[in-house]
Amino acid sequence: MGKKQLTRKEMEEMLPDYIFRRLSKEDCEAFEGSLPNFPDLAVEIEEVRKIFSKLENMDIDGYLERKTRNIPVKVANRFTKRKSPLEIFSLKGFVTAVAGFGVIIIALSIFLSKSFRNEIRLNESTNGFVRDVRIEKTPLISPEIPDSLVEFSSSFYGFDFPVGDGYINILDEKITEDLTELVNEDLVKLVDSKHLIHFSFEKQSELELIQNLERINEKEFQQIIKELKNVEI
Amino acid sequence: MIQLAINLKTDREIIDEYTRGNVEQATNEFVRRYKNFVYLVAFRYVRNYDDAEDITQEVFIDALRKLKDFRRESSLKTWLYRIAVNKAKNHLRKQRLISLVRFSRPEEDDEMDFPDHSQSNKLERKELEEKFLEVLASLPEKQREVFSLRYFDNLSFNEISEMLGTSVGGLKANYFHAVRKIANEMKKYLEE
Repeated sequence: MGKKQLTRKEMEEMLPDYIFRRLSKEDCEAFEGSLPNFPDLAVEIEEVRKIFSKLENMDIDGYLERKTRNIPVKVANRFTKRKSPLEIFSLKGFVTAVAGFGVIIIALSIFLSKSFRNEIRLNESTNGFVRDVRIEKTPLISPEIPDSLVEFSSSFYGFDFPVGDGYINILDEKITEDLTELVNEDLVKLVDSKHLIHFSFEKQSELELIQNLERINEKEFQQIIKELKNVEI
Repeated sequence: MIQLAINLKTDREIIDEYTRGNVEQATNEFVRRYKNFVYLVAFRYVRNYDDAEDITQEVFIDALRKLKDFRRESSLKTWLYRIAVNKAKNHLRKQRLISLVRFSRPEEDDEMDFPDHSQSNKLERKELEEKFLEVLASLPEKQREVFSLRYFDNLSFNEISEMLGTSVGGLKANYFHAVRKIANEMKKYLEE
């Protein structure tokens, strides 16, 4: 009875293990028995072998060992320093945890409310007169707003996600991860969809300056450059 | 008094030792056994030495905190792999966000500076290895992971299947395509 002939699909699936000598003896015999039926695969095997032979001397293990040599000690140190999640239920831990959580909720509320607010009204007093100053803001995430108007609040820049040891000790890490995940996911989607075009500025005048700079013509630009040469910085 | 080091052999023994309270030695054994594996997984995703090391430490701290509750439905390696991939992906998301907010480009990829065996071909070898890692990184995630887990970590297809949640047949096809793509790209590079 003749040996079973492998199909092309079976041959392809076994090819890498054959090249890297990881086939069992039986599979190896079956592979070699069927190889004459696929001359192109025989050529491919030679080429792949030749290329991978050049990489065989990469000392991955030695390299990794050097890179990770200190990890057991570092992990042990960090692990023993880090308190068990149950410890936060001590009175001190509990109060700290509640306070910490409150801070995060407030920070998140401020961030979100600023991001979605459409306008800010300020009462500005000048020489006894009270003026109503209206600053328009565009929402952070809104499908109705044109791309060019989508704003990214710079206040986010100062917002530090609670990923440090101090917070993790205080809070359940799951809460931390969920919050981070929530914000990350939304922002990454926003960036992927190219809705994020420009950033807000601390002062309205700064924004106007930048907007005006984009509109100036070449002659005006050259004039500014010329004048800047006289400025001592 | 001479204290003999306990030579833990299996995952089960590590977990048992840990559960019994022999935390220090079990932790040491656990980390030593899997540190290279976790580091390489993390590095494949983040391609940065320091970040890979941070992630590796985080993976072990996370795993150690949950080790007592480990249900042994999968191997420790599979379990660690999943934690490492999740941590690495989260890290990448954060990096993306930070690089965006700070108006800065993401950090450039670190290169793996493998040791060279002779000075004469040092540069050539380094370039070759860099190119190999570049090609590897350019593969689709599934192909890259199955190739790395099989080629570098010598895992069986069943183990990889458990880690990646893909059928063995699908993995073999991915492995073949990964090898073919790497070979084609490296061939082009070598012929240049």
